[in-house]
Formats: sequence, C-alpha cells, structure tokens
Amino acid sequence: MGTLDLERPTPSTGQKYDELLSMPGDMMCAEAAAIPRATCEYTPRGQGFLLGKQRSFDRQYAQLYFSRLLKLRQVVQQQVQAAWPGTPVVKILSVGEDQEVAVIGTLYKDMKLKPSILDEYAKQPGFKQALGGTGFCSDDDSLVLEDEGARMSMRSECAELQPDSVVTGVVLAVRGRAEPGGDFVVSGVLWAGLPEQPQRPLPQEDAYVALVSGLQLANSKADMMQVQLLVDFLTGNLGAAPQQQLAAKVVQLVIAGGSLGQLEALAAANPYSRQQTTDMEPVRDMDLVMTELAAALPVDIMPGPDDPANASLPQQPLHQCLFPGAAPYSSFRRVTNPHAFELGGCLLLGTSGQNIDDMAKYTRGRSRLDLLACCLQWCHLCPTAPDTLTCFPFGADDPFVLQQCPHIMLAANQPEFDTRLLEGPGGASVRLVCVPSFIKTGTLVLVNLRTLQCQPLTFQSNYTSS
Amino acid sequence: MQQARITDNFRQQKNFDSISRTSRDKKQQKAPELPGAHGEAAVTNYDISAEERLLRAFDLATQYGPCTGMTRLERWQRAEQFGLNPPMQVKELLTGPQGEQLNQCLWDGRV
Repeated sequence: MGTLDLERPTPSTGQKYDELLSMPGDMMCAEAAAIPRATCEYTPRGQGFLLGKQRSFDRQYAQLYFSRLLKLRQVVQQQVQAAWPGTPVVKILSVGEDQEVAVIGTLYKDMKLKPSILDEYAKQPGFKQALGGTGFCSDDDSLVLEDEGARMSMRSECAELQPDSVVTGVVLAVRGRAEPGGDFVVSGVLWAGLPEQPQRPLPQEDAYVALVSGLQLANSKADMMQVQLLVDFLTGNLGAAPQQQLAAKVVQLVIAGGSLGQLEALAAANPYSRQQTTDMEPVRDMDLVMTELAAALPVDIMPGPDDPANASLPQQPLHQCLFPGAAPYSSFRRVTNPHAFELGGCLLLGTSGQNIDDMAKYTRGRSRLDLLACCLQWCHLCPTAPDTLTCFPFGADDPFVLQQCPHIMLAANQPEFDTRLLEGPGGASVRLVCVPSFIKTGTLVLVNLRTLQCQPLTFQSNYTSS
Repeated sequence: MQQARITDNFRQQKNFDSISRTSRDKKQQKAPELPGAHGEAAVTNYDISAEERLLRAFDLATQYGPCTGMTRLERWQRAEQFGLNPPMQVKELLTGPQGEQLNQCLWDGRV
C-alpha cells in the first residue's frame, strides 16, 4: 500500500489512567456530561438512480449506448478542440484515408475469453469454462470504435490506449488516420476527463462520515462480536472519552452493501417448514443491528451484490419489510446502489463495488483504486454496463454518466482498504476510497469532511495466541 | 322416459369443418386484408400515407439513435434534449389528432 496519507488518531491526553481505570464514584458527577453528536445537513442527490413503478424491460440496450454517447460527446468535443485544435472531428462513416482526423465514439473491446451466451450452445465446452471467472484478458484482445452510424477496428500506437487498460463502453476521442487495410491507426487519445466539481464550504470542526461494507450477516463465518464492537463504537458505548469524542463527530454512516449476503439455507428450505424461521434469523439480526445504529446516528443502507434486492444496476433500495424495527426511524434511509448525496456541501458518490469488480475482470495490471480513478477520468460510473454488468435498459438517459465531480468517491466490498487523493484540473480534489469487506478485514473507514483524510479503524475480537 | 345415456353428450357426427375444402370453397373464402401500416401484414410501401412515410424516414435516420423500443414521440423528445434539432413537423404529426396511431415505430410488431 505504500505510504497512505491517513489521519492518525488523536494522541491521548497523557494521563496515565483514563476514566475507565479510575476509582468509581468520582466520575458519577456532572463531569461525565453527555457528548452531543455533531450534525450535518444531508441532501440526497441520487434521484436518477431511482426507477419508477413502471419498469419496462423490453427495450434493447442500443438506446442506452446512444444516450451515453450523446451525453459524453459534447464533453469530449470540447477536450478535442482544446487539445488538438487543427484536427477535424468526423463521424466514422466519413473517415477517409488521406488525412489525420479525430473521431469520437464508444469503445468496444473484443475479447475471445469473455463469457458469451453462445457458448452454452457450443458443442465442445472449450477452455473458457476451465479458466473460470478470474480474468478474461488475453494477448490478442482488439479494440473497436463505434458511433451511431458505423464501427471501425483500431490499432493503437499510443501508450495510453492499450487493450489491457481499457474496458468496453468508454466514450473517447481518437486521433489518427485510416490505413488502406481498413484499420484506424491511433496516435492520440482523449478521455472525457473529470466533470466540474462544485466548491465545498470547509466545515469549522472535524466531522466524519463512517463507511463500512460487507457485514455479511447471513454468512456462517460472520463474527457477531466484531459487528457488535462496530455498533458499540458508533453509538458511543465503546472506549473512554477520546473514543467517545471521536464517535460523536461521526455525522453519517453509510453501509455500502453486503450487509446481509446470500441466505443460502433459505434457498434449500421447504417454504412451509419450521426451519424457515431459523433460516431467517440473519434478517432479524440485521434488523437488530440497524435499529441500534439508527437510534444513534443517521444511517444510509445500500444494497450489495448478494443482498435481497434486484440484481441489475441501479439496485433499488432494500424493502422496508426487511427492517421492521429500524424503518420507523427517520434517521434510517434505505438508498439505491449507486448512491449520491451531499453532506454540508461535500458531495459523495459511492457504489457497492460491482462496477469495480467487473472492470477488474476485464483489465490487467490496474489496481482497484486505479480503476476507481479511471471511472472519474472516463466520466462514467460503470462503463461495462450493460455489456458484462447487468443494467436496466434505460431509454432516454444514462444516469451513470457523472454530471458533477464528487469530493469523496467510494467503492465498497473490495478485498482491501486503499485510498488516494486525486487532483484534477481546475483545483478539483477527490478522495478515492476502497472500502474493504468487513467480514474479511473488520475495518471501518472514517473520512474527515474537513481535511478529506481517511482514518481506518479495525475491530478484532479474535484473540488467538500469536 | 327414455334413459339418458352418457354417450348422448358426445357428438357422434363427424366434424365437417375439419374436412379440407374443395377448390370451389376455397375461391369463396374471404379476400385477404389490405396491408396496414404496422404488424405482420405491412410489407409494401404502396399503401402507407404520406405522414407515415415521413415518420418512417424519421425512424430510419441514424443521427437520432435507434428507433426500436421507444415510441416516436419519446425518441423525438430525446433528440431535442440532446440538441439534435429534430424536425418540428414530426412532432406536430405525433401530437396531432392521429398521434396515437402514428406513435409506434416502424419495427413495432415486426421485430
């Protein structure tokens, strides 16, 4: 991980014994005053991800690609006019062989190892199945550019456009000339770049947003003690005054998916048996945890890859009936995946990680954090949707195109914690966070809204001798 | 009273409808319907009106995107939203008195 710019916990006051180790009785007086929790104004910004009641699935995905191209074409065109002033911008059908031109289109990466539905009908399984789901890149992947009229295959002589580092669905501009054989030889490439970032007002004092994901309460390996420590910390019941003061500065908790996981036992159970009641225990556990948290601080819960919500992006909020205890609290918000909101002027955008996981399968040599930075560079939250990532067939709009640059961008359920501050043009700075899965690492990430620094907290309840 | 038999409920007559018609009967069958603008019967160009012809040209114009899966009015509104300047005449036809009939695209019912 190298040197991450993490925020260190505030040093202790220097007393040898804090109030937990002092004699009782002295602390029962008014000195042990209640520590009020900081508050911050919350504004939801993810209305584009909420689907209405009427959802028609018989539209084809070509409409979504068209909307994406049109929305990003204007942005890319401005970049082209700024970076390559003399080069004319043409459509693919008008590309001639004599001059150097710039073309704007959607990228398609032709990969022979990509799982295709046609394989199910092939006579011989081949070695695609033998390779499994780890990676689908091979050395002979090729790139194709597509716009609304035609498509053309590309041969890249530019280091920034290599098949290993891009994915299908990105809108870009390429400069080059067409070869007599038909290939378009690329000498330069331009992405849409970071969108404009609104100015954020700096808060006077430290305020934190807590990010956690992958509680996986339905998994038999879930450590309830670890989850309880997390809940106790956030509600202020853990530790002495320094820890309680830190917890009091947490203004918002985002549970970014994976809170329930797959209820495997339920799939096999007979619907009328008594066993089903015990198999639903994890759902009740999740509700208990959420009720405790919602009583203490505002909670946003997002659905994740295996949660009981729809499988295609954008995932709709988890249903209210799963949270009979927590739903009545106004501090408890069930939100979509991806989720966007504003906390006191600071814009946050996050997903439960499906977009990054999918992109990681189709690229080589890029870390998860690099892919998150690429999403910003390409100005699109999940470019591989709908090619390899299931997605709702939108018609008139593509809500995954980034309109504004967030201040904090997160991808959850990742294998490990990672963070970076990305500096963009025009003074934009974005804190990128890969939130790790709690069941694997026990880590909660606190992001300081004043300095945009991260503080990871790890909870461990496993004291084996080592 | 004569006893009713269960076989009285079964038709014992041969079903004459299933016998193949003679050639004389075939000529007296109903004439096929004229091809309409939509559906499986729409195969030729000769029977469609001028408005429909104009709207089909709008459907097939690639600069406004694919036309399947959306009504023509939705596609027109999307084209306007993206600044593509779609022709006003198309919108007037779609919001006019015959708008409902003309709203489905060329491939509706055929693809």
